[in-house]
Amino acid sequence: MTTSLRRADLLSLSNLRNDGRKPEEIRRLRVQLGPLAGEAGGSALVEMGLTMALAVVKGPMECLRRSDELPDRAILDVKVSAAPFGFGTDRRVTNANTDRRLVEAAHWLQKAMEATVLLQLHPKSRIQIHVLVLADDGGRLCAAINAATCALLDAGIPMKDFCVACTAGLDEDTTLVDLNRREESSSNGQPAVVLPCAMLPQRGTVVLAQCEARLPSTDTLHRVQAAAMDGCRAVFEILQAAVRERATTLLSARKGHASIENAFP
Amino acid sequence: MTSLHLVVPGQVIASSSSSVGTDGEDSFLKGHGTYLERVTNTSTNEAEQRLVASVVGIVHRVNKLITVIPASSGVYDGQVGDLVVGQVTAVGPTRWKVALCGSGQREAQLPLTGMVLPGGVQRVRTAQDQRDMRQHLQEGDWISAEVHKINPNDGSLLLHTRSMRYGKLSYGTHTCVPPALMPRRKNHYYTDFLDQVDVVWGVNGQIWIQRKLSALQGYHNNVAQAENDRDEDRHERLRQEHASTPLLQDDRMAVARVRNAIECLAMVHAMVTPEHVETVYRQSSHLRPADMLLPDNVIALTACTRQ
Repeated sequence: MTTSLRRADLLSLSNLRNDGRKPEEIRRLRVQLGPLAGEAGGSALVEMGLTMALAVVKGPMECLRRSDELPDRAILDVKVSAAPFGFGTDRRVTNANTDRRLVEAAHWLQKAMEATVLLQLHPKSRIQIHVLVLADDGGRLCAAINAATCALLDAGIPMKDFCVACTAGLDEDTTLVDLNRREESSSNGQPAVVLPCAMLPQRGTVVLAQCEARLPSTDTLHRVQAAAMDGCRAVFEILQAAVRERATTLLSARKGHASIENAFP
Repeated sequence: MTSLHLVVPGQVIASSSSSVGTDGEDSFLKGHGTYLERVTNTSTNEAEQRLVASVVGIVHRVNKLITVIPASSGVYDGQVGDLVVGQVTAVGPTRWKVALCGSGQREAQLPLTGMVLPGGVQRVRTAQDQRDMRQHLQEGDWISAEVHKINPNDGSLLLHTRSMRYGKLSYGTHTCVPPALMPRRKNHYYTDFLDQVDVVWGVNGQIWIQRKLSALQGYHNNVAQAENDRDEDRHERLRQEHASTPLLQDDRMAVARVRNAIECLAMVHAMVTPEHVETVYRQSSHLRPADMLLPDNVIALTACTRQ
């Protein structure tokens, strides 16, 4: 009974999800690079469906305390905060900035970025990544990771690869990619299967994968994981196209033959 | 054309295969914006060395050396001999800290030994000199300096102001552009730029604009008086005179116009060269300086930089 309710809930008879997507389809992804140009080293605004994250990167700069410095590499100073209006539907949150889940998101974001940024090139310094979640419709961590990657690229900080992220989940036997808030929240007392995954797409390395739900078998886990990685690759294609377009605009403007449509974001 | 050579982080630029164990000669050298990666093919047991891009940019190759010239414009990559403009952020026991790129980047250091003592005397710096440091430069002062050394351990910059051209900047305005828009040139000091202003083009993207010194009343008399003086005294006198002469409306307008011309170029990501600034400046003569930054005007004024 429970399962049939859930199934009717998430996936319609025509095998479409409640927002009209196919199970393996990611949400509309929009990327804006350098929306805060001039204010910061690098910035990016990423929209995954209705989830929106703004990342700002500064650095490499001085550490706040000498004791924080590492002799052989840079440290990452990561903060994830939420706009007070970004949690309209979540009544459990009283103060968005002391929310433990945001602290946890910052921790995962830091781990993912430490595996991606070439930190040894800037010893004794600090790179600051600040992500502001402007709207949350599920996949907040993934939007934060994608936004941070784009902001780092915009700032010109050397990285091994892109670090792209996407969630995957499970509805009965079907894997769903890039869950929205409704799909990732628990229903009928059953926690939903949510697996956020971050990877370096061009090398195929997974740098973050996390799943707290109970799965029937390891085989299922592998399927969900594979679905998340497919989502990551789809995200990568869009991010890469946006980054290339931006770079082409900047370079040709500098050379003196180009359009200036993107000069005024 | 450009899109052919445009690479993104993680993209393999070149690869060379050599059998495991032998340190075969590579066909490329790793430059800025790239990193090397060794991949072993498990089936054939062959090691392959790959050169991978680490920033977004254009591949540039000089013989074996492969570099990626970054498309982003944020980071200033210091070189010895660069003229930089920066703001003093802290006074330490024997050195000043100087912010070269706003608050977002590592600060450079100006040691007490890197500046000329008043009167140009040559001696070891004493404890008294250390106590007087704040009289020379204090927090918030703008200075021009030259990059003296790059710390090999952490890449931080050491500055010096051991020439009368360098030192504290006052009674002018400051603007900043992304460092990538500021090409290295032979000359970064422009006196009598457009017959209106003196401009210091810091390679780090910071630009200082002030009324031209030669416009000052009595400048030539002064120079004549000081024929026998040393260079330092003459500069010192010129600075004092600059500080004491009231700034006229026309001077202010000229400074503002040059500043906004630079701002216009930075807004469309065009190279900020004296030639471009001059063209924009001349074309803006029918506008008030404040109106130059309206989007339509920016596009019209900077048309000269595009073909």
